[in-house]
Amino acid sequence: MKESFTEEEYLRIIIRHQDDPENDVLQAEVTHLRATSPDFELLYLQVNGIWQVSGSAATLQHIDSEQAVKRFSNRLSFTSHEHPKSVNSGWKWLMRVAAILLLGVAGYVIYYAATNVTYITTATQTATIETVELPDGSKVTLNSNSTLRYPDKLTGDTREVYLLHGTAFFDVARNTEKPFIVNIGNSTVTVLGTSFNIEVSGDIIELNVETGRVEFEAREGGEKMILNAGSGLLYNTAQQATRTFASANRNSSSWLSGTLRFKDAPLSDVFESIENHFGVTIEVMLDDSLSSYNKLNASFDDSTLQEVLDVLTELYPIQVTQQDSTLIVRDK
Amino acid sequence: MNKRSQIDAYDEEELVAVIQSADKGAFTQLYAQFYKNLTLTAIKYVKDINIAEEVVQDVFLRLWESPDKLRNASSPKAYLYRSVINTSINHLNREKNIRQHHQVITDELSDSYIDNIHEEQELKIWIYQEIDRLPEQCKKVFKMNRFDGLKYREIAEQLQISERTVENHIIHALKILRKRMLIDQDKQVESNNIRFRLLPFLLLCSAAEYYFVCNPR
Repeated sequence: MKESFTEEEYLRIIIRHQDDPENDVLQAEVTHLRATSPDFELLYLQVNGIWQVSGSAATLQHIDSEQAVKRFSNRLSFTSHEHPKSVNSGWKWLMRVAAILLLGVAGYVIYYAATNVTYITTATQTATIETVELPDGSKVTLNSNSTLRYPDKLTGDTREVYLLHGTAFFDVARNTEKPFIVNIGNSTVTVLGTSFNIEVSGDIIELNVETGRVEFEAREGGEKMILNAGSGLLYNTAQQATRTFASANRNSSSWLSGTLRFKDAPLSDVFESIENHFGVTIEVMLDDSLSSYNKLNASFDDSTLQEVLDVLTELYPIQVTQQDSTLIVRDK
Repeated sequence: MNKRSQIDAYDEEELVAVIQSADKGAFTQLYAQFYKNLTLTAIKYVKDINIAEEVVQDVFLRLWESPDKLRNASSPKAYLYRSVINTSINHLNREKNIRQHHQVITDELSDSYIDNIHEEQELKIWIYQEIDRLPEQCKKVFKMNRFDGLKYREIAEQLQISERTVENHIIHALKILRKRMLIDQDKQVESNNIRFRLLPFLLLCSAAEYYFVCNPR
């Protein structure tokens, strides 16, 4: 009777089991089906293998060979290569070689120390914020769980750093001769002197410009976009899609200042800012759409989540209940 | 259609020649060819992509400085994998994270173990490329599940589709990937490429010892 299972039905049971491995009924069913025929057993092993390996292939999303090769080639250019030497005897000869080598080494060490750029990686843990000061006086403040790679010296025509993941606020010292470039995967943000916030999570890069002007290039050779103060941009690296927006109400750097500011902000923006700022999830279960509510004008300085919620429940006909890190918003 | 990395395209003598040539361009090229496989291998141990990259860089730089290191190795490929694993373990030692388990593995870096490690990374790279070629929605659903770890129910909610549809996409993805793997396998058998062992390796990963083979930590 089990022989009548089609491949499709069989696969469905397997993938349901994989989605819910704790379910004993599914587990028993898979075990039973595997035993019914060698074909089913083989199919199971192949599909399960693809399943396991695709899970571990996820790491490849973050492996960027092109950038890695650039960094390697940079380091390689300062490394010597040992050439096979012919064996010779005679102390005088050896002494001479030693002297030459010593001179060479000394010169090389001085040259190396002066010009070799080493990259420093700073990674913040959960609940820590760290500020990195670059040799040109620019400051990068890293939010928790963020990683920045930057050179210890700023040689060359540009100042380049790499935001590997997370959120960072950049306050860039003005230097029109040397553009400041933030590399994010294949995308770059180029500025001369300004302040802006970048958040990288998964495939999405979010850029918010606080002061000055910023140039965004989605990928090398791609179209360049200019963003002015008060505007922002979302870029999806997987779909290569870009969307710009006015960022005044997004409070993207509130994690740094502790201040949430809203000017004629729709409730949807307010909730999004609260989610980001306090690290909570908001589930809206209101009868009307969020856009039907009045816009909010308010400013919160170092307020607690409870204080902000008190104000909102005072101003709007809503009630908020909290379960762990999830807030549920209902009609009052 | 075989888009696997080109490591196996180098024969052993070519590799030795490149490494001893002192040609920076060729050596960098070699780094580019091996980068993904070796970084994936290092990540298995150090669990951090940045540290993994540094491990791989160090191995290549040390080899560049003294190419004679190759002399005692059974093959350059095995040498590179072995050095990456040892350097990774040394790093963990420094971090005082070592477990008994690692010590055992260091002693047992046999050529066949290295071959398995190599096949494993090849397979990951192959699957990653093939996932990228899946139909758009199917790819999205499959990635949300396999890469982001979302349950079918969560995917259904996010994409506003039924759970049944999510399952259909997953089944479709698995069918396509399996078919491509079988086709690829046949081609390699026809052309007598005995180095292509993805399918058997996949079965090995699928079997009970998966966690030992693919995740020594």
